[in-house]
Amino acid sequence: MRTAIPIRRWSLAVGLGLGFGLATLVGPADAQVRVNPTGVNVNTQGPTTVFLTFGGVRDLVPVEALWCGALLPAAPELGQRCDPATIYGALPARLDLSQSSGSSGFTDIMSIPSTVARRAYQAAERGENGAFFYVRRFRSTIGGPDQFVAVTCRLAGGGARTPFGLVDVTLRFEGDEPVTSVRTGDRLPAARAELLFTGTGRLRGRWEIVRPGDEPPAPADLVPEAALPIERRAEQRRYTEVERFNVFLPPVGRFTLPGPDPARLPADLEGTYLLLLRIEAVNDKEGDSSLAAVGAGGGVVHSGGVAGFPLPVLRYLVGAGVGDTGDARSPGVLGLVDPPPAALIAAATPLRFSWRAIPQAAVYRLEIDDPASEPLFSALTATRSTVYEAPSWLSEKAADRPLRWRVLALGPTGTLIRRSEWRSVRLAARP
Amino acid sequence: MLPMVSSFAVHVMVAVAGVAADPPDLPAVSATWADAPASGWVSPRDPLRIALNRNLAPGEGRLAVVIGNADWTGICDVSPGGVTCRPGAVSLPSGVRDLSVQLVDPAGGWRELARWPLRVRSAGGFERLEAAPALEFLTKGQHVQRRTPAAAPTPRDTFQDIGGRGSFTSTLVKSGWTTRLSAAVVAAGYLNERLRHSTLQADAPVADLASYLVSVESSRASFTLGHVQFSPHRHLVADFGARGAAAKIRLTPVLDVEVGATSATSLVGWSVPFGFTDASHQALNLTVGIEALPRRPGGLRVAASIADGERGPRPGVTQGLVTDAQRSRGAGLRVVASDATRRFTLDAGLARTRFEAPDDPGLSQGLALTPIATTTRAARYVDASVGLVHQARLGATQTANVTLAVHHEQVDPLYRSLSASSVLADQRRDGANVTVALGPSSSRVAYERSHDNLAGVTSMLTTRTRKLDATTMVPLGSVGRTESTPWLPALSYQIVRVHQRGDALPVDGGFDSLSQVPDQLSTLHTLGAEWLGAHWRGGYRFNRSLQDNRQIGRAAADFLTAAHVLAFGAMPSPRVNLGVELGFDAAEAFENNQRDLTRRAAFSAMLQPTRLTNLTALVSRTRVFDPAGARASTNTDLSVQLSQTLPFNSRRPERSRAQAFVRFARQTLSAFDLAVAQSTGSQAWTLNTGVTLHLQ
Repeated sequence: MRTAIPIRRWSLAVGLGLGFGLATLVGPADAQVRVNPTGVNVNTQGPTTVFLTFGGVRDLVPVEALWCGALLPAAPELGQRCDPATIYGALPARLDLSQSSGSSGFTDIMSIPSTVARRAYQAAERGENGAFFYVRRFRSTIGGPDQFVAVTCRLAGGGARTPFGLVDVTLRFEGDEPVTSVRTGDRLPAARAELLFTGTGRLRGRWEIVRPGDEPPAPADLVPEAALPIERRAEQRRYTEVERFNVFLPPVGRFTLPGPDPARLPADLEGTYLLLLRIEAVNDKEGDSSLAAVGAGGGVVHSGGVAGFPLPVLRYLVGAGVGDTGDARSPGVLGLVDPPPAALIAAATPLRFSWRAIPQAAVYRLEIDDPASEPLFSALTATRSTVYEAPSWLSEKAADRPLRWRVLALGPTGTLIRRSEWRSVRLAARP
Repeated sequence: MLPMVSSFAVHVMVAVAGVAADPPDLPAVSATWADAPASGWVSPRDPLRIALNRNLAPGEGRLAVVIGNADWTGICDVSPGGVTCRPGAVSLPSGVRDLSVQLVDPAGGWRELARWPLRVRSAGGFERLEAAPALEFLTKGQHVQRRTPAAAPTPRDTFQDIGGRGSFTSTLVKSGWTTRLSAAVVAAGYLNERLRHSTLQADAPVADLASYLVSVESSRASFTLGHVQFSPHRHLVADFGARGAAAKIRLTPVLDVEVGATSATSLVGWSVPFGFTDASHQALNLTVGIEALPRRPGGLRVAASIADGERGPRPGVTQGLVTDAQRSRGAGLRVVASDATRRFTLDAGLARTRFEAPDDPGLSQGLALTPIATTTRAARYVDASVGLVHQARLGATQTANVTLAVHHEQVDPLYRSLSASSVLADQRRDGANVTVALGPSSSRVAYERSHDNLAGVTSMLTTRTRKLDATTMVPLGSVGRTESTPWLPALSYQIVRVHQRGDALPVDGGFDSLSQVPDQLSTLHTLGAEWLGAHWRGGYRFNRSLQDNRQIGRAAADFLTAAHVLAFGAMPSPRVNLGVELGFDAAEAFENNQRDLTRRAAFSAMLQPTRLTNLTALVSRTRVFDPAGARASTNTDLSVQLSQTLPFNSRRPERSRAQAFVRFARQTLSAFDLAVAQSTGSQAWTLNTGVTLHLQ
């Protein structure tokens, strides 16, 4: 863990005064610590996250990291430090995922909060220079000068040419309960991940399940792979893989990733489960860190899909719970078969409904609503039958009007355990 | 609903003209409610026995039982001489409804034999009363863990944890009001498993509140305490859910009010039981709506909303976020209109918010930060659609619709509303789409153009985006049919083409190369085919994306990715569920001539040898590699789990019971990467067991 040392005004003033004459002699090019990338496009209207690699940090320890609107020579220290009159913020401890990497490298995840970007945008609106800077200070452990290393942040819209990073990830089950409960053997409601991101690229990863009895994940297991130094990525604990995904995110800033097929989410064992979203690092030119450029090794570290926070988990409980009442707000989904959506049933054709069987169901209830969504007719069937033929007079009663229908699966105590979507149907009038 | 009857008749026979009559050599069939109560009232669980005066002759038809507007025949025992209905999973509905017996002839004609008023008592004065308390205690452990290569032992190599859960749910219905109560509490002995461990660490309580709900609702009003959701305005309060209180009241058929006070983000735990009591992390909203056409809700609705909120630097319980402290308040107006057939629809809104940044000690860390000016900014949108072709007949069995929709949206720079956090500021979007629906098939073509930097800040990059999105879905098995065939797949195809281009090199913005100004064309193709049988399902998904960078200095930095997934599942019986999935991905980076291939195979089997025994096996192998041999990683998972339920009452296994499980899991990982001169290989296997005691 780094130690945060607040910059004091007097120290900055002294540094400024003493070092001004040396500024022309000792510039950033003289600093031994190097960073890659050295400049990035960032989003002015929200957060941005960028993977940075610092090299040449032998005998140095990272101290604070600041965002600011202008730089001043840091002499007698090395590099350029933030102008204290233009400080936009310091990297909060809650967003600091930095850690050492290799023998002389240091990996930093620069997560720019939206209020920092807002300060930069307002400065640009006032006509000041649009760029702002992220400055890391490294303190020598052997009595040498401190070193300041700056990354230039250029104001942009957060689309293409901005590093591909996740800035807001929300996981939800249908029904939006923070903790979802289902009965043993039931199907979970559909899950999804709502993502706000910068840049563009492939979102590649997997949905995993932590089952009762599994050791829960540590925070380092929950960050995206790209938030870790390359040598630590393989150390992340893996859990039972439910489904993989590999989808392209165009540079539009918002995407909803469908969750795994609910049929694949285990619910046979009672207890608490965690659904994990695991994001793998992908090749993204804008987020690449060159190890060679900073003297921290060879090759390029790909960091597409980085995030500056542990990804959230979606918890669900199997056993008893709120899913036990007939008014569960998030029952599983039941599949309809016939008639197909928007079917028009000829007058002489029997109106036959069918759906898919649910092993846990005790009774099915078919519901048919009129065009005003008022109940028109319903039927109960035992679970040995997944087909119902409606009375012939229903066609006369509701001819040529758009109807909608659905099927509910009820458990042995009348509990609603699955529910289909509504499907439309129209009954042709007799000629 | 059928009209309620006021008189009670034990035996009524109604002849209906136009349907099949009784066979000439048999007496007219009539029905008697055999155990009709003298008091006229029955209990929800009382059986109904209806006898005929004679057995139905072969070919004469079958009996049907209708209560109110519901056909109960499917859960009754029907014989040629009568029918008996024993309420089980479904109770008789409280109140007074018609009970009728029908004779359904072989041609499908229905003839009413008898009709009675059915009066059903409610429990405890309630029309419906359900309560389901439940307690669970569990212990689970890991008894063996073996790792290769051997690693230093950790305290969690083997463990035995305890935990539990308590829940209560209840539903009461009386006089048009429905009251629901529910709560779930989760307890975990192991610190890392506690509900709020990620935020409170060592201070996380052993037993914590996972969720609760108290709601009282009628057809005109609802009051809710617990996790509540709001979405009255796209730019002000949208898809917002958190713990708190909500009330919706329809004051008159024309006027309704919705008010909410919640936490700023979703949460769990005891600390803030009502959600809205922490002023530094709170969201308030109020919406007043006017239904100008009360006989046709949605025909013309005008709603005014206000929202006020402050959020501390902490995310919701299912959210990860680059956090900071924010405060916003604002107002919005929304108009929704449609004609009677919904051929024309309009949804338009305006919003204006004021944003402030409260002090965030984590961000300022004692420094004097550049102040943020309080800003008041606006957002607006219009969505309109018109049915060019509306419900037109397409042959004997299908209808056709063609809809044209246009939209406009502008969100000012720095616009922000905390309760609509997914709104992207500094954007103007204009677009149109055409949707063609032919029976079950549909196609949609959408085009949108947008740009940012609406204020024209010269030191900031201006980006223009053009997006074309075309989708078509054709369920071949249903086209032109009233019953689908599983052998023909449901096909879907989508192409998305996004061209994003920067205007020019900004001045004084730190831009020093045209390579920093994007000019990128992204093309994505997605193809899907799905087969759905009664006991099996199959699917194929393919997507291909090309990221074509065109700006100076980046023209070669293109990426091409293709992914194929084949899946097949079978459920030959309710007790056997098998699944296979194969995946093939290829990702190519042209600039550095790098290619990554992914191969995945997974198999799952879920067997239920007895009603109370479950056996689950999962095997998967994923290999990611560079065909040139520069890097590769292989991950193999194997898991076998056996669980057995032991009911305390064999007739009601869903009530009190115990469940035990044993699980073997093995994971193998090998990887090497020449670029960082790294090679790793490991294998680990574990044996876990657990017992759950469930009391209900």
